[in-house]
Amino acid sequence: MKSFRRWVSPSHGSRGAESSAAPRPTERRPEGPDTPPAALMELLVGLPDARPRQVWDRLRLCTHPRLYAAQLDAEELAAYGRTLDVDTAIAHYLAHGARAGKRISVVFNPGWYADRLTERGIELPDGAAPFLHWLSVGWDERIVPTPLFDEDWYRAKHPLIGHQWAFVQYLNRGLYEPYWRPSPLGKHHSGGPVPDAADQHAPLLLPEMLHRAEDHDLTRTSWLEEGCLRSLDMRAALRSARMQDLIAKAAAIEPLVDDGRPDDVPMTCPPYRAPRLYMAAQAEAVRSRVAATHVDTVIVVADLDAGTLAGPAGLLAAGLREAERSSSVLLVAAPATTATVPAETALPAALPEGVEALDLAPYAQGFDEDRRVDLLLDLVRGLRVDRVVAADSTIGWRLFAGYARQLAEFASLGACLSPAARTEHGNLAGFAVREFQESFADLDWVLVTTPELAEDLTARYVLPAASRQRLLTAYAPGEPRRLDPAAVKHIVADRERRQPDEGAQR
Amino acid sequence: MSVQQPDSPTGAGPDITGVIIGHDEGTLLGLSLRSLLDAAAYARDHGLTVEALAVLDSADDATRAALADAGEHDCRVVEVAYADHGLARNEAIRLASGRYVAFLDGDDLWSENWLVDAHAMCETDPGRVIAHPAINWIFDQGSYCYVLPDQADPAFDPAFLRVANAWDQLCMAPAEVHQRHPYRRRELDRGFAYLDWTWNLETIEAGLVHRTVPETIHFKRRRTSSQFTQARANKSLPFHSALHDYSWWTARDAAEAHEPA
Repeated sequence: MKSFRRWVSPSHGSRGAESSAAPRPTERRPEGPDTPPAALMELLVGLPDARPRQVWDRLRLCTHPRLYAAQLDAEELAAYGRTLDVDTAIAHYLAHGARAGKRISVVFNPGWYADRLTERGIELPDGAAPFLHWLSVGWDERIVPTPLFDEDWYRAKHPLIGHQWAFVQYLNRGLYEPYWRPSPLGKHHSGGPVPDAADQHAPLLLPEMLHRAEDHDLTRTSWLEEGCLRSLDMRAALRSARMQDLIAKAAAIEPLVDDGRPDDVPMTCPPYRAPRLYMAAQAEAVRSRVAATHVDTVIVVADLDAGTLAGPAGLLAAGLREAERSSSVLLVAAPATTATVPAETALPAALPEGVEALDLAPYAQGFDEDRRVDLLLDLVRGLRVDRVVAADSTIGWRLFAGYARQLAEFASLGACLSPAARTEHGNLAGFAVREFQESFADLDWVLVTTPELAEDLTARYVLPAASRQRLLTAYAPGEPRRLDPAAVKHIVADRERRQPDEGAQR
Repeated sequence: MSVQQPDSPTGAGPDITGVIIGHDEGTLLGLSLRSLLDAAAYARDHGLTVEALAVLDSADDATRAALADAGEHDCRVVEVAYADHGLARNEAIRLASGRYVAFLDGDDLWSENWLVDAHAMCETDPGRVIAHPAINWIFDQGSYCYVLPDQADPAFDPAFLRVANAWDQLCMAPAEVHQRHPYRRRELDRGFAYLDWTWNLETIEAGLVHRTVPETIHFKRRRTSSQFTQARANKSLPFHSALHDYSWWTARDAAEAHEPA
């Protein structure tokens, strides 16, 4: 190999420790009882230097009830009504969990902490609970007890956090707000905000930490942590003499290959850590839940409440079942946001005969909008759907705005549009205005709930005759709770018209 | 443009054809040629024969000029005017005489051991293995590392391919695999792109196995404008594949359930 003069010297970024002159970390004072309970005092006996009040505050800050609950059996959980809040989780932990080695905090990995203690030459006293040791000794030593957080990286990426210990900032905010990226290995969550996450002490990374929980001993590790550890192993492999030699030879040809590149560049390692890895797993979970390989019609709604069934989506589902006797209809709830603990919506008892329902919320916990749309896309592609309908659903409209061209190659596309969906400013059709504009050309029909709305759209967009014919009025004249048979006939005929092309397109 | 015959001392065609695809890389294309020549020399030192081929697709003058003397280095240069990565690759496959074909984009580099180690990986199950580097080392306008997954890793679930791509086109594969599974032409107006993703879906469906080669690296230059960024901005998808259908997965699940333990 030819050798070339290397005219750009690599200058790896400094990863030095934070200045010892930095002020004490800012510790939020969590709400709750001021006095440490006796159970905590008993557990601190083996840690004579521990300051109980401080440990108590830190314990409350670091407690994550859902992780703890996932380690309890059904009988234990039943005693707490199947859910734990911070106080009950701590009470159970101090009474039983600490001695049993259970984990109450997502940021504490006992194996990782033990390795850090060894590095520092610190011994864990006999009988001491490692987590309580960290809350007293490790915290003061500024030991990060988890592979999920890279302190130098975090500080470099978020310089505005100032001189406080970066890990404390992460505990207070980074765990609950989607834009804080704790590690070059990723955000550890799916990018979406969860409004009540901080109030519930439910870090955004919890869905990934609890993923495949049955395959992991949650007292020690999790799917998320194992993925990070494997990724860190791969990063270490990059530092081997062989790999460094290969990099140096490439850099001898092209200096930009290694020009000032820091060691901790972002790293993606499927199948261990990758931005859409968890989403892929959830897409598979949806497939298992549906347990079908084909559905004729998918109607995407915002939720599955009684109002939805009484509205155009429910009436359309019933109308299609009546008009196409052998056809299958799936109502899919695709909410635009999720709360911390979305359980699958109880399916309404009044589902029309032959109509199935699926709530995507439990599968899309913490997903940003793109992932929600893509989860829905995977579903409609996977089911080889003949007809997709967005019924006043933000995610449904977004699906069309992004992918109507591709979906239209194998499915009839329609939408239900209600004047009720106005913005607070009174703009017509509310949130769906942009999506309507972007996808109307690809829609075979739009079912509008009032003639006035059809007239408004016609006038607003100066719709030509061919486009006007795609605006169908939902309700029969004078019968606001009955779908217009003419509209159903049009929708059925549209699918029949498309079917001869289906094989060719697919 | 000088055209060199492949280095085929055995008369049976070379073991590997190393292909550079060029468009508008200008001088940077020379770096990739340098990388290919070094990897080819390393391969020859290990007893392999290597043919060097450059396909310039709708190339600009600077890119054409960069390879003006490539023939002196036993690199054959062919010009086409497809303006399409997939079709340019298919043309390279048609012209290649190696048993295996390895692609290199015109501003990227291989680690010098790539051809040797990827060839060894492919030979572990001839005709069935597609070799990828262990690591994509992204540089220039952005730095990160992508550790490519190995399909033989029990942790790898091909369902990942339904929502994300796993491997790019810079692989080594048997020429016959490329001939059976040519790349698709991009159709951005229909919303279909991601030739590599589509190819991965098709080859997995066909039963081929994507393996990663330990201790190999592709050094990939990130540029602000690329076909990938165009496809993403266009909300493109890979072409439809059987792997997108739940029925394929149901059949797979059933087959796995009947496999002997």
